[in-house]
Amino acid sequence: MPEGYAVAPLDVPDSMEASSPAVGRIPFAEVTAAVAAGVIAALAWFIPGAGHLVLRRWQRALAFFIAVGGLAVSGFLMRGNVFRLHSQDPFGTLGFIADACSGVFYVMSHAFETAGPNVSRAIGDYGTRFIAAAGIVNALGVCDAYEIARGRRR
Amino acid sequence: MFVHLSHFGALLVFAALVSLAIGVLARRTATRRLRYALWSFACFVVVSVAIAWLMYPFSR
Repeated sequence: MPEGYAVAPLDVPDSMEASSPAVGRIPFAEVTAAVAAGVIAALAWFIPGAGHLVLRRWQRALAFFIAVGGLAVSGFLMRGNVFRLHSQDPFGTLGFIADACSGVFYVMSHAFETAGPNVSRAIGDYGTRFIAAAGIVNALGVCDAYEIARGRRR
Repeated sequence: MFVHLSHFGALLVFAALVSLAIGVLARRTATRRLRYALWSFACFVVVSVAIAWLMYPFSR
């Protein structure tokens, strides 16, 4: 064993030397693109369609805003159940995740649904599904906006 | 404020809004998006009514 080493040094090829610029470094442009895509995804989550709007995809922006907003507001007006964060059962937690994906519409649910949920009627139960579907559709929109921002989708 | 829709009315609203999103996601040009959204809407409605009829004997 050479002097000064606790263990024998590994036989590292020249191409993997620490002095090589390709090892241990992430290009700055890659980091910037990833952060920008993350910001666009966050914007797309909070305001449905806004991520596509920033990316100049007008049709998709309008379609997602109408689809998510229409589903969420219809669900509220049907008096569907809006799941809160601290649910008593796992299905309630899943419901919260789905509902929260609708972004600003979840935040504004109290403004639309002033009388509270009424799932004793079938239409109220349908409303619960509408609200969850709004979140799922918006989650698809968020993934789409992220992929477009990363250049992996047109 | 409260909206009262029939079962079929709720199906139509749901199918229309989800088909809009699916059409825009799945195709690139406006014409193809519209056609795909209409196809998706028709599938939603026809399959839902078919399943409803299949369940009808068990509803009593």
